[in-house]
Amino acid sequence: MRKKLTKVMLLAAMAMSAALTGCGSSVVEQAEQQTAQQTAENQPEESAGSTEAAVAETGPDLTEEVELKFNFAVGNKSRTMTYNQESPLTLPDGTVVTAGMLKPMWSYVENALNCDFTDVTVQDIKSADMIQTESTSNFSGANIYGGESIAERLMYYGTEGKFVNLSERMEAGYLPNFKAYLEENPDVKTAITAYDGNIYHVPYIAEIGQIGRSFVIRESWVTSLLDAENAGYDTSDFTVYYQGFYVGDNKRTGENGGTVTPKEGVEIVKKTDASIIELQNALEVKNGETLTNALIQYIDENYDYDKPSELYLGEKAAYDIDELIALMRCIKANPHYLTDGKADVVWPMFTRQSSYREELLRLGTYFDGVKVHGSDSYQARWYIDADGVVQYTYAQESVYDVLCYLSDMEAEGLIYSDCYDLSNKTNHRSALWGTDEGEAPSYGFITYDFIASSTADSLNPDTAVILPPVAKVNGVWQYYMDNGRAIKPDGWAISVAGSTEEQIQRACAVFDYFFTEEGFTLQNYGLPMNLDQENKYIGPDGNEYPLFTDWVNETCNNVANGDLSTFLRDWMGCLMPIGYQKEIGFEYQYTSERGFAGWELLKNSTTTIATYAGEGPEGDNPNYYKMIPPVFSLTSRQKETISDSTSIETDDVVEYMFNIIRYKTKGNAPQGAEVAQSYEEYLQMFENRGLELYETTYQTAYEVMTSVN
Amino acid sequence: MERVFKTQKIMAWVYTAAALLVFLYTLIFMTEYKDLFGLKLSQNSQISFFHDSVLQTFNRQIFALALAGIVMVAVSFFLELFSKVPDRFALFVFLLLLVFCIGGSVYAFSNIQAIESFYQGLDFQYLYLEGMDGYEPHFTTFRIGYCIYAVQILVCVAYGAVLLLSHTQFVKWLRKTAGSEDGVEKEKRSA
Repeated sequence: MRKKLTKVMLLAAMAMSAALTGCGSSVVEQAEQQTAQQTAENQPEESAGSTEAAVAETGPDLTEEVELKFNFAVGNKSRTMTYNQESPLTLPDGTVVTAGMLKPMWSYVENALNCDFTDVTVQDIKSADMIQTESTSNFSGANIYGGESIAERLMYYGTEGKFVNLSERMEAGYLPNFKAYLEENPDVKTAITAYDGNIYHVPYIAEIGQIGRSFVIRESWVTSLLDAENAGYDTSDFTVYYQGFYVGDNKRTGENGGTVTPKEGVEIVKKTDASIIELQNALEVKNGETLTNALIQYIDENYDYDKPSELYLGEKAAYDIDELIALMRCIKANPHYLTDGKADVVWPMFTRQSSYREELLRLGTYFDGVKVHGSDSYQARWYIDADGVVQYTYAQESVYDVLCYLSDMEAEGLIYSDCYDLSNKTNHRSALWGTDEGEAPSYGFITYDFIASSTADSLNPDTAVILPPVAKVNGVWQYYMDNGRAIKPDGWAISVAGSTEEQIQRACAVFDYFFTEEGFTLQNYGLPMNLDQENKYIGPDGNEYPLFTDWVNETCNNVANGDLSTFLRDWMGCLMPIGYQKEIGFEYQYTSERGFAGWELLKNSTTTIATYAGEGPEGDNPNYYKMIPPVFSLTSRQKETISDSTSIETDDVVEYMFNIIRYKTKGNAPQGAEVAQSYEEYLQMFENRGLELYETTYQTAYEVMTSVN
Repeated sequence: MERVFKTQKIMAWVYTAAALLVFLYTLIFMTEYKDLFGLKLSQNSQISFFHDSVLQTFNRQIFALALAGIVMVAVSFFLELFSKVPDRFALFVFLLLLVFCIGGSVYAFSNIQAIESFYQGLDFQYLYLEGMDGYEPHFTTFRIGYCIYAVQILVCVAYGAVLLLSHTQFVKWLRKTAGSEDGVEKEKRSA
């Protein structure tokens, strides 16, 4: 009996040991096997793969109609896929589009790709709110999600498995045209690749490599101020605060910007080390007359121009930031003279809207090349240093100095005072440039904005593009604008939970369609029936572009006051921030002659702009001219770190910076407004908000982004 | 025999304490490595594999074993091992369970070695990319694990031995008692 018991126990022990040890494998080996098994399960089947590979050659299978639901939010019901205009639109072929229907371009795509599109968007919802809401339902309510400024969210949720991995799809043969586009544009690929090395969304790509914003002014004010003889300048007192940038050891002369080249073969020499700001500040009586005369005399003594205005206008312009501020002073001090007595106040500098107030900070470029924004977006508060590491700009001492210079300008009344108030939704550009003939005109002089819209004849026939101030940028004296067209943080992605395999494949076909010639033209210009099939438009760059028919121009004038951009977006469904490459040809066709002249001026000059390739005159930082990606792909840990331990991305940081501009020089801060009186105090605010951690997190995110490509 | 029975009762409580200790250990097993949770970057894929696959899998296994150990305590109550000498059935069942327990502890012990060895071979230099600077490998949990499972093995062996001894002595005593009772009966009958 004892022997029997022993045998049973031994057998049981052996069986259990075998079970426990996983037939001899350790837990590490078991985990490896499990992972390998899971990976194998996630891989598309070989047979499916070979079928899919054929897609690239034969195109997507469109034989069966597939229903696709879109949730594409832009916070404006006029800009969605659905036609939301009160009046119906009759297309040239007689088709009538009424409210609630898909816009014509989307109906065209629906037919071209044999789909049944449904726009499930809450029409006025903002993109961020839409994503937030839909994330709670695992994005199961639609097949395609898109909108503005959501690229980071799309990337993040993509890495969490909520959106289709487009890299895998491209590998499997889908999206062949998008894949080819990325191969031709590696900068775009880098910018949209998530930290795990995959792509989950297709972005809206503006006309990259083209000039973004530029300086646009009222041309006649410069000539009438500087070139007119016996001008009746104003004589009201003017108070100065700005002490000058090219003063003291930094006087502009000789090696320090004494000779500059606005255009190949054209050299402009500044003959002395005189500072116009010092000269104006030294005047015993400061008014429109004395300030302007001092500027004219200064130009005559320092430059060999036929007319003093040439310092600012045309291809030989060679003004620096001090000379621009000196001109602004003259403008500010001569409101009656410049407006024929219609106004007591004029505003030398303004931004299009208060929400664009950060454009003022771009003047930093002209104070020895201070980088404030690394891209088109105001959220791009980074630049890439010489070691390839991103650095947070807003906390830099040089940025604080720029804020102080702007504060001096503000104190002198050179910046439009309504620009700072975010609750003010007025279009300041329309108000300050577009009311000259109105009953209560307002006047502004210079802004930094897009050429086409800023030089529109309907806005003001006196506006003109000028070269940017010449400055030492990246250690080299040059003409530079830190605002090239960018890859936008907008776009769309395909939901995993909301889609069947058939819908995913068709959604891929939709995404890819806008990278075919047909889809590209459709999204950029409109329906084939809206384009002249025989003639082309020749742009100022010499390239051919699709030409709009008269129907487009006439209908646009009738329904959208001639604003072609608005007509194409709000009536036709084109130019939406979906995943596509925008082309400049559309913009050319609604640009005025003065706009073309501006383009010509900049194109023929030595002006460098920021690009993703980052090419420019060799200087201190080889990465200076490089634009940073539109968004950084953060892991959940990194996002948690930012949200839990830092508070730098809150709006009050920008408000804090603008408090310096508004109140520091004059010391007139209202109660409760915090104004940093020194850089140490300014930096402390950022450090208190977790600057070091914030910077390190983004630096590592950028390092990962660049390493996975 | 009484001394052995007293030892059996003590060992029942010692085993209970050991089973609870192991259970507690499995509850806190991952704590020391919580920093390694949520790593996403490919540079740290081996570390996330270690945390998400190796440690999690092992923790699930030892937790199940620890629960079984707790169930064994309940079984020992049911079999009245805290208060009575085990009969043949109780001895058989419980010895079987103890063998299982020893097997589990040996499995845990040897796998901690394998896991520790894997952990030592990990490359932590890219953890800074996910916000972790200066990460130092931790071995305390592994060391405690060695001790705990070694103790559990010893306790199980000792407990099993005591149960066996208690049972055999009791059987002997029974036989002896039965033998002496037979002699008395015979004497009575012959008288």
